[in-house]
Amino acid sequence: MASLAITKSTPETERKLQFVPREPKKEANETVQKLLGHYYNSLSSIDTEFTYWYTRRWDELEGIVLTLRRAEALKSAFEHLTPSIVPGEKLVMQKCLNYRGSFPMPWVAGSFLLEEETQKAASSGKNVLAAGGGNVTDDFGNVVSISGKFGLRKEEKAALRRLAESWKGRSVEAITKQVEQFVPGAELKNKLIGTKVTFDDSGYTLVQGRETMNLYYPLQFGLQELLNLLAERCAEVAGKAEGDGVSGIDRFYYYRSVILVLEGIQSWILRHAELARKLEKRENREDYKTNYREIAETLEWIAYEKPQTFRQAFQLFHTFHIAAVNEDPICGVSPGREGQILYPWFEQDIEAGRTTEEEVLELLEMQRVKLTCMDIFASPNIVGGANSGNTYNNLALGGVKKDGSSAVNRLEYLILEAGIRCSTPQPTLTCLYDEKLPEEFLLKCVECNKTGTGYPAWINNQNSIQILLKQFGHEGMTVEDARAVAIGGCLAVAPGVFDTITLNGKKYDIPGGAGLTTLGGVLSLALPKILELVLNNGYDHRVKGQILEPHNRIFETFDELFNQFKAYYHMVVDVLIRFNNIQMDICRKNNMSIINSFMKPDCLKKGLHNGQKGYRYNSTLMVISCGTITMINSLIAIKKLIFEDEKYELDELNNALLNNFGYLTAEEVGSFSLFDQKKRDNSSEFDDIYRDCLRAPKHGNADPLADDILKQFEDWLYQDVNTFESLYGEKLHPGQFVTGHHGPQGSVTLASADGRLSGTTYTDASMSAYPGTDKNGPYALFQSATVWDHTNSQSSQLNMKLHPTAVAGVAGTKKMLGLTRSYMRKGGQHIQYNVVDSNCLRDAQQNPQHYRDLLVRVSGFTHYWCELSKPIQDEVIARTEYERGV
Amino acid sequence: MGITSITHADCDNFVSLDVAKGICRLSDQIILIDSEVCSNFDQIPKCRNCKFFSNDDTEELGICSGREKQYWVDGNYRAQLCGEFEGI
Repeated sequence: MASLAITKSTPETERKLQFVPREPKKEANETVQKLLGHYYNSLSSIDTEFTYWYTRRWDELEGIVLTLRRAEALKSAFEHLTPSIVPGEKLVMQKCLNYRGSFPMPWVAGSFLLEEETQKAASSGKNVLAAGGGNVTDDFGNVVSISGKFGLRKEEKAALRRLAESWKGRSVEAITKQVEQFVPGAELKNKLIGTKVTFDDSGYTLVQGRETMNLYYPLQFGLQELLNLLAERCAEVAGKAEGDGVSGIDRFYYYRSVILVLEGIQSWILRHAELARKLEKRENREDYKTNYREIAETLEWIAYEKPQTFRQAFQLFHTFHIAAVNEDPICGVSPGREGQILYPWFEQDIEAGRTTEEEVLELLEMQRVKLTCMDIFASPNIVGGANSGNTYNNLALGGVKKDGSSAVNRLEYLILEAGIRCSTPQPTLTCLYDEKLPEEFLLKCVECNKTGTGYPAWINNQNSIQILLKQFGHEGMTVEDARAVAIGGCLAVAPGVFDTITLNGKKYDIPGGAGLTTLGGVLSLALPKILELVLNNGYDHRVKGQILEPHNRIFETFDELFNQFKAYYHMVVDVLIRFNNIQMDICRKNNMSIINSFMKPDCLKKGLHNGQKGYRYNSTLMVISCGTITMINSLIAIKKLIFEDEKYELDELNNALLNNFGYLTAEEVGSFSLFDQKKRDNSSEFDDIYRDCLRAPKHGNADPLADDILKQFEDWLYQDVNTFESLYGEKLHPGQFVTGHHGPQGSVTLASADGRLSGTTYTDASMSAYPGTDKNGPYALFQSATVWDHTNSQSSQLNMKLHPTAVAGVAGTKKMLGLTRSYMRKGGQHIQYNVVDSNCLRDAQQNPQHYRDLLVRVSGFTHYWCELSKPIQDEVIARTEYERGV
Repeated sequence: MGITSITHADCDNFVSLDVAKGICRLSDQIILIDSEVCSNFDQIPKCRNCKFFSNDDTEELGICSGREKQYWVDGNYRAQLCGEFEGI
């Protein structure tokens, strides 16, 4: 009998496990390895330096125009950030004092910092956060654990508490809560969060992100010229409405604010330059001395001037990336098509002999270490539950140029090589697959996949262009601009534009981001949980409460049941979007973006920040769902067993689900892992129905019954989500990528009709098959996954696990590219791989001390195995492992 | 104030890696913040060493009167970037 409850092997057998290793990988140079070693040995840390100086300046300026107050606070925070240069680094500047670190932003949300319980553990406790890697899950010595993940110096705890208390009643979160009580549906919204039908108050927990940056202005003008241009614009618009009676005058405040934050960033750069000069003077070792001098020279130049060399451009790029990330609790502000953005400097330096490819590689590898060191500190739900602390600095490769020709360049090969030599979670890589890309480049991408990094993910470039044209056509998106697409965060297809960089008289079109965050809207909707509510007349047996209005229907046909699912879905989104719109509105009014917004078109042109629709593309917000295939497989089983074969009554099935098919609950077992579930003693009452649920057709086997239900759902979803409106007055769009939500949302969902047991993870991604249920090989899975139009939804996601022997050697590399190409040609939007022997993962569970650097692709992100929770680890182990048929 | 004992994190030769450890620039070695400091200890400016800092011993946090508006401050904060810092 096929089983979704997978038997756990004994520790004894696991200790003896033999496994096929991934193909040999190259290594970074000694300096980079040392820097990476520092990361491996570092703890996830927070401090309050940025937090303090932001708050203090904010309080000093009570009563002034909010935009200016925010800018002054940001400026002060950057001016007071202690510079740090770790010996050996060439690319410098980091998020905060600690090499691996982050800091809280209680002006956005901070109530969790005042709650002892949430200070101690993330939302789902031990089932979400692993004790391995750098997670600080317990207090020790003079270090206290915050939110079950971060370490804080004990002597700083009083300051953290004081800061959190000082924002009580005035943070975005607090103001939102004051307003929310007057919004119809507040009680229902809280119930939906309480039951985890939705995951969080997403409008303020992560304010920006899952978008791509745009570095055009700093790279083309340099800071000083940019400041001069801004001063001119300030003078031009001061006190003039120029036909805009609502926000015309605001332009002056915005330009002034950009000047203020740029001065703060300039000061932050110069503090690092001063430190480098001091270290140069103190240093006796010639190589160290030279290194500090070069750092100082680079920083002293970019603090004022347009970059002239690759190193200067790269440092400026990195500096502004960190600056943008420090503006808000941000997840997934992605560098975009870095290799194409920085190519002008690379090309000219290589041609002039100013640098070598090895030197560039070293810098690229150092960027990987620097970005991996950067943590995110947001609400415990976000930090622990959703993404395991991942920051999603997605770097896109490939795609096409403005004229439609391949955009691949030599620097992108080096980015891949750096990703192979220095395999780290950040920046994750995405290949924008297009038929026009050179075979050699695509094979290089596969070579990178085969080292087991999980990156690059593969995104269908032509699909993505279609997605952008559908989503932003009414805002003026052209085919040319759509070709500037990049990936924001894990998988958002982010709108872009091309701008022209002039370097030494030569012109280059470089792509950059041009759209709002995609972190608003509704996320992440637990589809199997909504189906559970349908089967239980809106009642949640886990929390013992009526969540949705009872439908009081007896379903005579499958369509009636399916329609009720759709009705509940619509009801849920209708309530949640109202609150998200208000949350985001309060955020844009009180906590507007200045740093990130000024860099993207057309904020500087319009004089408006992104909360005022300063960006060119604003139709970015989505309704993102989780557990698509668990829900689809459940519908398939219901249709087959109840309405077609009439083998069971719906009540019988529901009774079996409520009784977890005779298994103990995950709470009773003490584990939410799909490996650990145990049957109740002497319980055979539900064996038959359990067997039949497991045997019912499943997604991923090219089964017409299953595929038809998926297509029906997807076609309806696109239409339904489009009926909702964001706070920007734009349509919402469906998104079908989630990160780690399938773990925590699975943990609160009862058993489902597909045979999944209560509390265990949902199917990962949105197009993946449930582990072990895709029996007909990868091409059958591709057939099933592409029965609907993937351009109707943002980046529907497919994870695939390949055994190393399936893709071994040069022939294996070509086979893997063929596999990928096959899915893309069928219209698949996204595929990503884990190339690993599952026994290797089992061994890593038993002997984590030997696997500090083991990476796996989870769901839209690559992460260290040892920092993942056990349920997620077990879900990755359980995924179908393709050995043949590839 | 809270914990005011001298640690490696107060030394100008120290590069912070995380809340527990860092690198000593003199030895190039990783050291624990709370391990004993050596004779080369080089005190960085901290708020508690500033003439504008005051606190009564019962409070964990003190007051900074160095800027236009008096405000609370943690005596453990680094002060090398504060324009108003005056060592005592």
